[in-house]
Amino acid sequence: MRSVVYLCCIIVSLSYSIIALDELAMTSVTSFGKGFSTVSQANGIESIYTNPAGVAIIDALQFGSTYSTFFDTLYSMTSLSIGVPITHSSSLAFHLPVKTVSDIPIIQSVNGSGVLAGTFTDRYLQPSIHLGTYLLPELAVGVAARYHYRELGELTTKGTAFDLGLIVDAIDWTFGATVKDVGGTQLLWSDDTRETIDSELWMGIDFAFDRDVRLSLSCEDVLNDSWVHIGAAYALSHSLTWFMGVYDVTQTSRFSTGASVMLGQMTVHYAYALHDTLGTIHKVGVEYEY
Amino acid sequence: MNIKFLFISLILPFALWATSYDRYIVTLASSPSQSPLSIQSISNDLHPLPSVSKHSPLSIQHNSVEHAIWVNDHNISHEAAVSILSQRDDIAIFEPVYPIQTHATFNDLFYAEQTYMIDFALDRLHQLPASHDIVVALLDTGVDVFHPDVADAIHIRTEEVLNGVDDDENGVVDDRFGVDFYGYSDLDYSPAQVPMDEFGHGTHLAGLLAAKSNNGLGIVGLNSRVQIMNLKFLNQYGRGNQVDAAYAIRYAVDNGAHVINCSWGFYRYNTILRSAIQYALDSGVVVIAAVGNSNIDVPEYPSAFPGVIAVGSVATNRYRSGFSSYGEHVDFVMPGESVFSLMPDQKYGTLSGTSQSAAILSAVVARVLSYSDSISPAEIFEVLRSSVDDLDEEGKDRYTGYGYVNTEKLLEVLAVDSIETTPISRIETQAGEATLGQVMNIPNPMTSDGTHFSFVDTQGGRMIRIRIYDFNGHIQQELHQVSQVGVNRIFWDGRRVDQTALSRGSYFWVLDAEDQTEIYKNILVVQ
Repeated sequence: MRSVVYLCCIIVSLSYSIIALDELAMTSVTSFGKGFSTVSQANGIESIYTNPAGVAIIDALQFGSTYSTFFDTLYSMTSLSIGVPITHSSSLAFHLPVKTVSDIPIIQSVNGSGVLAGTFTDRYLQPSIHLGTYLLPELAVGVAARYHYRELGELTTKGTAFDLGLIVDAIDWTFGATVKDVGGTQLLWSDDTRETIDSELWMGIDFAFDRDVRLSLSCEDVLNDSWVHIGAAYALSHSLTWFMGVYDVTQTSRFSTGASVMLGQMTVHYAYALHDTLGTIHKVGVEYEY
Repeated sequence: MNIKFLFISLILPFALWATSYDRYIVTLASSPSQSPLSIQSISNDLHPLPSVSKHSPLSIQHNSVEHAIWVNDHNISHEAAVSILSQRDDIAIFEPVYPIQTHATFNDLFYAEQTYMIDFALDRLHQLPASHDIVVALLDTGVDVFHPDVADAIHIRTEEVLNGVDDDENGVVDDRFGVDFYGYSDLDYSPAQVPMDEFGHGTHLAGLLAAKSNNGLGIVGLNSRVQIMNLKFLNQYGRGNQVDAAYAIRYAVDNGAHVINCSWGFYRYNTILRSAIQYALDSGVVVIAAVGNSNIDVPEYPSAFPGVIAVGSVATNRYRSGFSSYGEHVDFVMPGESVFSLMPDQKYGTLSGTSQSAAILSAVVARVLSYSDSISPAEIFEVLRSSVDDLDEEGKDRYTGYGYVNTEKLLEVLAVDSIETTPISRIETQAGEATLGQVMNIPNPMTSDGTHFSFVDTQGGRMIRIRIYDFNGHIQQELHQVSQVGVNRIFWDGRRVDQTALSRGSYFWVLDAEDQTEIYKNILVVQ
């Protein structure tokens, strides 16, 4: 089985060319590297992006930070996160991501010609709180509340979103599901216009073929669109893991890869993808556990 | 001190205007008794400093004659080099490596309309080497700063954005594309953010000065190294006042202009204008002014101020133009009849007047300044005076001044060997390559009516592709259009392929051409 997985990895590697991921900014480094296939994985504070039930596994104080650049630095995102156990079976996590698109040119028409009249910034903040708890030793559930705040020039918008999730752990495999933006999230702009973010349903399974190899699959469904994500991770050593993924198995050209390195209590993640037109995407993350 | 070094030291100061060449080919004397040709020994002769750099000898054998290339890193004049090396017996020939150029001419669409270029040999001005850009303050009716033939020559203060704030802290708000001084002295002064030309006069002069050559568009400007500081103080009827002009002059001086072109005037002057002109002259700025188009012997200002170079108009037959005013203050005449140049809104047209004559001389002066930093404004006048074809009475006269500045003589005066010309043809090839530029979407943020993707294509006839992506890299729409030479516009109604409207936010758009690897990435906003 292990050799089959390696073969799959090689085939996917050869098909490497582009990626065009949804929610590029709002995903963890490892999830990005694994093609968004990690909804069923309980990854501590990394789960704040994918499944609130995954934070239940946090059993010690954790800090995390990520930095991402998209499309040859056309825009960037930074985030800070903290995870803390509150009981022997429950944990809380806090997350503050900030996406910034700066120096957007304001072009006005003067006598039919374009004139640079200044610049402005598109800034997106989304602070959130996540609660995960083990109802049973093999069943974790979670809930998250996210606050949307966005500045688009002089306009601002606000709104509150809720996510639900669960993870079932059956030793060699896990199953996970999450509903993001439960019931749809209403955003109210400062000019009184409204916008709705539709709910998303994510489901996935994760197999541990042996101690070193894991394969994960996720299905994402939004309105009438759906995607199947696939990812794999291979532990090259106790401290080094290489991972890769395909965002949509129907389009094997959407490929990403990365690695995690554990240095004592600190773990460093890196993931990379290439968009054929817009350029490269880099994500770097650091976690520290006390 | 080495006697040769002393010799060179004495020669060099006098050789600043003398010819020098980048490299020489050295041919060894045929006598076998001579020592082998050594670049090091040549270099030592020409420049005894141990740090002198040199090209490796080629030591090529060709027709039994050895050659080597010596690189003139220290810009030693040709006369000095020959004088020294002529004393060496082992060198038979020491000659510059002359460049070769194809006999190409300008590829600008309306070049044939610019008869003054050939009639007055003004095309030769391009053969005067230019080392750096010169800022010419054009105090006039404004300039169509987006005219594709001159847009690249507009002096833009890049730190300034049009936001109502003095970003570069030079005391003037929003002077990115120049300054609108019209009405500056009025209580209800309300300047335009971009001093566009509503009259046509300023754009016409700007084209003469600096229209881009060999771009397949429009006309050939006289000086590709001019940056036009666009200072508008005349309105849509070509009218203004001397107080506004004085402020514009002081702005020009304080913000780095090397030359001020004044293609306007009046029979009386305000003290504030005179002091501003004096301020410019005292600051080392060359001021050039038109003498007027009234065919009368009444001086107009600023052309009649001492120190200002006053320019009248001459016809192709080398007689003073019938409209050109005259008097003791006239210094030179330059072509000013039926001059073809730019007009606003991407148009072209013909105008006549001493205004055009002054602008042409401004271009000449700017080129000379670009050729040598060491020429002072006072020397400029002498260079011009030494380069004239004398007209009318011998010497200076009240109708044509010293005469018209003959560009060929100018090259001689500046000791620019006619064969050592700026290789126009090579520049043509590079500049003439198809390029896209001035890529933007208008307006941004886009309105509910949509937006125009705007760009300039110097080639035209190419398939242009525009793709719009969301922030996750998903393509939203793709547009195609065959481009034309010049400014192109592609309209987009802001809808996706499935005709749904984009939600609020930022999007990327990418423009590329079918035969070009470079792509242009931009951000557009839906609000």
